Amino acid sequence: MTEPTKNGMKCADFDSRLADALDGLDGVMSGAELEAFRAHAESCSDCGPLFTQAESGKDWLRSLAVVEPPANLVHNILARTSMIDPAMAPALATRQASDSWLARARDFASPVLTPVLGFMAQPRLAMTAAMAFFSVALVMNLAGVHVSDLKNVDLRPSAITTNASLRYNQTTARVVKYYENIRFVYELESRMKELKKDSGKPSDQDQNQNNDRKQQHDRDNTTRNPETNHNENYSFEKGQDVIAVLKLERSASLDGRQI
Amino acid sequence: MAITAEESQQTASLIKRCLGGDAAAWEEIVRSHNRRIYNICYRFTGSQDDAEDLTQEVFIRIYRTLKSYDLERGAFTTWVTTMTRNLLVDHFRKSKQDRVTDSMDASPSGEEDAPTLGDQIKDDKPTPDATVATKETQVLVQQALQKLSPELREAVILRDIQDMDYRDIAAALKVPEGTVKSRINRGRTELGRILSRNYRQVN
Repeated sequence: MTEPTKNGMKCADFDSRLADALDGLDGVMSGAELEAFRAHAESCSDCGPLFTQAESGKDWLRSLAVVEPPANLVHNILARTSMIDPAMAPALATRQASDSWLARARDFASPVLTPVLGFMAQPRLAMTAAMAFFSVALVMNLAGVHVSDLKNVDLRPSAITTNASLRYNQTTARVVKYYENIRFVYELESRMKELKKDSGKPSDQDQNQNNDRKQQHDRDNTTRNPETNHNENYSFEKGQDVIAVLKLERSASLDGRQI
Repeated sequence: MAITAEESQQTASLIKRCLGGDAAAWEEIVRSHNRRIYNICYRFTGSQDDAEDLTQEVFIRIYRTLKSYDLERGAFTTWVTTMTRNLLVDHFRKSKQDRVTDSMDASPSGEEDAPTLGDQIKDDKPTPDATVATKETQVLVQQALQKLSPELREAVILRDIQDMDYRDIAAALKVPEGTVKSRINRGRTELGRILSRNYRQVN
């Protein structure tokens, strides 16, 4: 089977030169070769569309953008490979830990900070910055805040939390105590009132009762003798009578036996 | 993609340090190559998740076989590319089997919670290309690329996306340069044909 030749170039040659023609990697084609290639592309019904399609295919592929890998890809790879070789793990882990925190913060802040710092570095803004600092310092001074008072320890998130909760609890305790105190005072006052009221009432009642009893007594006592009469000792005489009766009976029975 | 003597020397010292147990050297290798490997994987598979998993697998394989790398035999980048390509071919074979056995409703990864093939087709979450102005075009080209046979796909990815020369591609794919050129031609032609057909349908 003979290869069809058009314009001095076989279709197989055209195919093998197609990549070279499009890429120009293996040296630029010579003038005559390029001429023959183009002529073949124009005249050959098979190779012409082939060239157009390959060219458009190449253009499509070259239009594809570079894809950014996920942010945690490197971290994941390092984590997985460090599991294979534990000897490398600690160094990798500490480096990663120290690196990731700062680097991530820097990466995060850089789009904002870099232009701001660049802008602030201009000499004409130096005075503005100085004035701002001065006014802030003045306000702080007037407010009684001293920079030396602000220790780094106080600015730690944990310290801030502890301080805040401490303040909250102290304030709550104070409020509760105040309220309790007020309640206590009120309770005391009302109790005092009650006591006062109570102490007034019973004395009156007692007096009344006493008066009543006196009156009753006076009514009963027709003799008008003093009450001390009640204390008179009659027991002796009465006792004597009883004993005498007993004696009598005894003596009577004795008498009867004797009779 | 010409690699200068200085670059290869740097790579050699980096690998030496890495083999000596220097974690920082390994991290540098990962940082300098992860983007490229991820892009090859993404363009080959068309899936971000697969690309991420495969990139991790490639680095694990590199890490394990770094001792076997011989500087005299070729550039480190070519070696890495070969490894990536081998893994991609393995992945393609495996996923091809899955595609034959799985229905549209079953999830490709075999997990209950994983999105099914049907979901993935319906799912229109933005791909990394979405940020680029011509996002529809990018998606179309990626879809067309997916239709090429793996041999043609890898050839055009390495040539037109990774900008490797014929010699390096031949070394990475372990085929003669003539075959590489032929595959590139066929890959480009087929892609151009698919896209011109799609565009005619769209317009």
